[in-house]
Amino acid sequence: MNRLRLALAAVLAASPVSALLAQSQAPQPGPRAWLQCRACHTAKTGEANKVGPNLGKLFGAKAGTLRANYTYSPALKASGIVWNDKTLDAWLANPALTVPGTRMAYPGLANPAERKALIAWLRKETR
Amino acid sequence: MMKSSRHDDATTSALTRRTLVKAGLAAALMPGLAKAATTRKAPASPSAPADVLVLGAGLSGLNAGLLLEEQGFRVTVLEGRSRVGGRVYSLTDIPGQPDAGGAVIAPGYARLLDRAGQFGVPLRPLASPVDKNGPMAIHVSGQTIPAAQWAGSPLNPFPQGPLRAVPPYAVGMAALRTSPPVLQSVGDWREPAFADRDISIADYLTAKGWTPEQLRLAFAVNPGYGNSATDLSVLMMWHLQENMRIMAADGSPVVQAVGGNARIPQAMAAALKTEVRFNQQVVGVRSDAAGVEAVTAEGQVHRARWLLCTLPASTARLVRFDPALPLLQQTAIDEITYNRTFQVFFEVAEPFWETDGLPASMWTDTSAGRLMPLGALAGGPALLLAYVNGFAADLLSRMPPEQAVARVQESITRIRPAAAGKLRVLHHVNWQDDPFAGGAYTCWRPGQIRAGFASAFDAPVGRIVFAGEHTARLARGMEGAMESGERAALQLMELI
Ligand SMILES: Cc1cc2nc3c(=O)[nH]c(=O)nc-3n(C[C@H](O)[C@H](O)[C@H](O)COP(=O)(O)OP(=O)(O)OC[C@H]3O[C@@H](n4cnc5c(N)ncnc54)[C@H](O)[C@@H]3O)c2cc1C
Ligand code: HEC
Repeated sequence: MNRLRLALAAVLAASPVSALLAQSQAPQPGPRAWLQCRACHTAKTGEANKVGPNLGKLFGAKAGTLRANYTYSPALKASGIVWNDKTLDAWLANPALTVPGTRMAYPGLANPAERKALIAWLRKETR
Repeated sequence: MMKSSRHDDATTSALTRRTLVKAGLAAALMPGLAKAATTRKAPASPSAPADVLVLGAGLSGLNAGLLLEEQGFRVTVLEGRSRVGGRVYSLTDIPGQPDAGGAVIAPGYARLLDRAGQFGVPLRPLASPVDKNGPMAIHVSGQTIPAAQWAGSPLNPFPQGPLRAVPPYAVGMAALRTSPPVLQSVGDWREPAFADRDISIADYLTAKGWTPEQLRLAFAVNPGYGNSATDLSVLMMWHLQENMRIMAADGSPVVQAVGGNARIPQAMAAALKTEVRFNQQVVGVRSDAAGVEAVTAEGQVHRARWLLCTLPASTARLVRFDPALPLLQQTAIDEITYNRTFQVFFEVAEPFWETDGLPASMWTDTSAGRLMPLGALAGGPALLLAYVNGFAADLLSRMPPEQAVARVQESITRIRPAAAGKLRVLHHVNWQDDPFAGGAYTCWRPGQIRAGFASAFDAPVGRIVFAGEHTARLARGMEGAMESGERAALQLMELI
């Protein structure tokens, strides 16, 4: 017990406060591919928008309509896309080709298996 | 008097040139040097050797380091300077901490904004101060012309038509804007389909009837990119236009970190589990079957299983890679060019623009470059920044720093006698001669995109992965650096 407390004190003394703060934020879950999305998006319903919109309640929604407090590009709003496994697969493979004029700056996820795993995770996470 | 940057920062001193020569020399002597260094034990380190050595503690290296550590990899970051941030550099000795490096954070800078948010770095709008004397005035061929009178000026080389009314600082971009835009997706610039458009701006616009006079004014005076219409790719400028559309996002104002943008890389570095190792100027990188070694100018050897090089191409070309890099990649590293930037920060004792009635900001074809007032942002005493680019910065680089700074100041007082005795030099920064920068940001020469430099930059070689602003696929500048660090970290996660 004492040893643990000492070790803890040593760690506290050695690490800058901000480092501790950063580490106390539990790493976000998700497949590795989500590491490329999470600077721009949150997935759980009710979380804040970032540069990209929050993706809560994504499945079954019309593209560019989910969040009233987010400014989507005219291109995405006019795309007529309804989000499901198939439309998401095309979008994530190449957003610019799927919706020319989109503001999502993402080159695309080339690996179909990674897309599949990401979409499956999104389906659960964005419920 | 004048305070010049310390030698670990941007500077133009003779010392800097010597350091560069020394680095080159060390690289030339590498085989011997490396051998001598490896027979010595690597510096005793209490922890196990790292999985990944990251060269450079700029935004790209720090973002990659954070992502890799989060995934459980042991990371050691080696930095040549005695500070983090690289080309993000806030002058903390000046009230308001103006940024001498990456200054403007656009609303679409997703990764940079996300890190600022994660680490609680506050941001504020970077609003241009409203000048009651009008927008940026023009000073060319010895005459000062208010922006509103430019269209009627005999010095305006453009024929009657839409471009004549555009001030020279905006006419280049205006001329390259097409409807519909040539590039309609931010990744298009690297697509082979556009390779044949990778020609010089001069070739592109000459075919449209532009004169050398027009080209010079629009692209060779205070160039934001390149030095002239002949050494800049029109495809790169179209990429920039498409990039700006994306980065403008919903049109929110551009921002800056309170206390200077360097707060962001500082917070990122503080969040690393392993401290950044400073004053480690890397001159050699050697790979073998089991790992990679980075050798410093002082002969220290750092070893890890993998290495991430985030050095700008302008300094990576001073590093000797063993075995040699593939020819196209080395060519790209050797030949890509960087924007030249020389800045002088002045304290303004009295707002002389109230005396001469001219706008504080001015675009000149002199050694003063562009004059930008920073005071309203700083909230302290008024500051004036002389921001010099292109060959005009070359001219200053070739002088002893005191003389260069005096030349800038003389140019200002010649244009605006009311400024005489009102300016005190606080700081100058010369990015071009900075041994750890070698310029401000990448500018693609005609043909370099077509030659495949872009994909050569970010291709892993054995145990070495590359990042840095010059390797970015979609974004540019600070966000490009962040994007490249993320991409490289993911490449490493796949490789390891
Ligand atoms: C004057 C100026 C204005 C700019 N304005 C903007 C702007 O408004 N908006 C924008 O988005 N971007 C802007 N930029 C560009 C932006 O700052 C850079 O693109 C970005 O910071 C680059 O990050 P990086 O990690 O790729 O490289 P760097 O920041 O250069 O990081 C590389 C690191 O490697 C270190 N290093 C170099 N050589 C060695 C060596 N041999 N051994 C060890 N370490 C070494 C360097 O010290 C540095 O810390 C500007 C840059 C400058 C200079
Ligand atoms: C650089 C920021 C960025 C990255 C990286 C990014 N996105 Fe986006 N994303 C956006 C933006 C911005 C939009 C809005 C696009 C528009 O309006 O044209 C968007 C839109 C979307 C949409 C449509 C939302 C809707 O309501 O119609 C989905 C789905 C999406 N992104 C998923 C992803 C996934 C999954 C990833 C990772 C593989 C990802 N994005 C990576 C910025 C990003």
